[in-house]
Amino acid sequence: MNANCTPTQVRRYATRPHNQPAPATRTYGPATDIVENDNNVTLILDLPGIAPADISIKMVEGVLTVKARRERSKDGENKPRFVRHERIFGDFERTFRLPRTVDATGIKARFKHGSLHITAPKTDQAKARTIEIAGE
Amino acid sequence: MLTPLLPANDWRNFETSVNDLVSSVFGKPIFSDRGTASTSAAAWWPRIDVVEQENAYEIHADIPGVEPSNVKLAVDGGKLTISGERNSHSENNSDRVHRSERSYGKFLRTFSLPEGANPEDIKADFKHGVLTVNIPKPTAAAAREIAINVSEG
Repeated sequence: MNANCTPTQVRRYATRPHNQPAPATRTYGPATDIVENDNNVTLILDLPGIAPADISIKMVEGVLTVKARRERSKDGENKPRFVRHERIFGDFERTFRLPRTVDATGIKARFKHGSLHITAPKTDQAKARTIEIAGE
Repeated sequence: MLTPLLPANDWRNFETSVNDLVSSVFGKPIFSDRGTASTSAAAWWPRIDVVEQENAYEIHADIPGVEPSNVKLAVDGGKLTISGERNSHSENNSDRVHRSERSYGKFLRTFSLPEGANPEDIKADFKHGVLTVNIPKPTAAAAREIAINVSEG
């Protein structure tokens, strides 16, 4: 965890902690990393075993919502016997309130090896810049 | 500065003791995690399912965000080991990490293979961050009748 990051800043980004179900329904929040560099805020969500077509990403009034469904594959007529059962299946949903410093129209997403990367570029005003001191 | 709930080492000890507990409660099924193996340098343990099909066992391991070239599957002395490493989300030290829930670093899970399983028959594939390992069940020797030699006299 970065030393510059205060708990308030962390809370500003994520509205629900991961692995806690949403109210009333059995929905899981995928584990997420949020990293900020000079130009972008990047969210990385673990969504293993889900086809990109089964993931929806929506941005409404500064709130980014990621939804996905993971179904157990039913192959074969015989009911498989579980020797070990640790993986989570079902509905995944997580919402993030993005800061005003990102440009909602420039958000891009890519899915690679079961992780969803959402990159939100910062607005030009929000980017750090160095101010030169004019000579005398 | 955020203070973690427990130092990283304590979390590791906690997971190790849970693995030991699981092994001791369930005894030694055909597939069992070796609790002692997890005291190695592993930083995290992927979630796995082990499924018994009619003709094979299947191991499904969730390892999202891991490059296939960083995954290793090995059979040694009747044990199958899935190991590898997940690289950190940020290459740059100047990046500000607002949230870090995903585990990264080395991972390891070990399983006992069913008796008679042929390592040559084990197949594995990797799709959307899930590693699937197929272990065909050893074929039972065909039933046969054994003639009895009868000695007389």
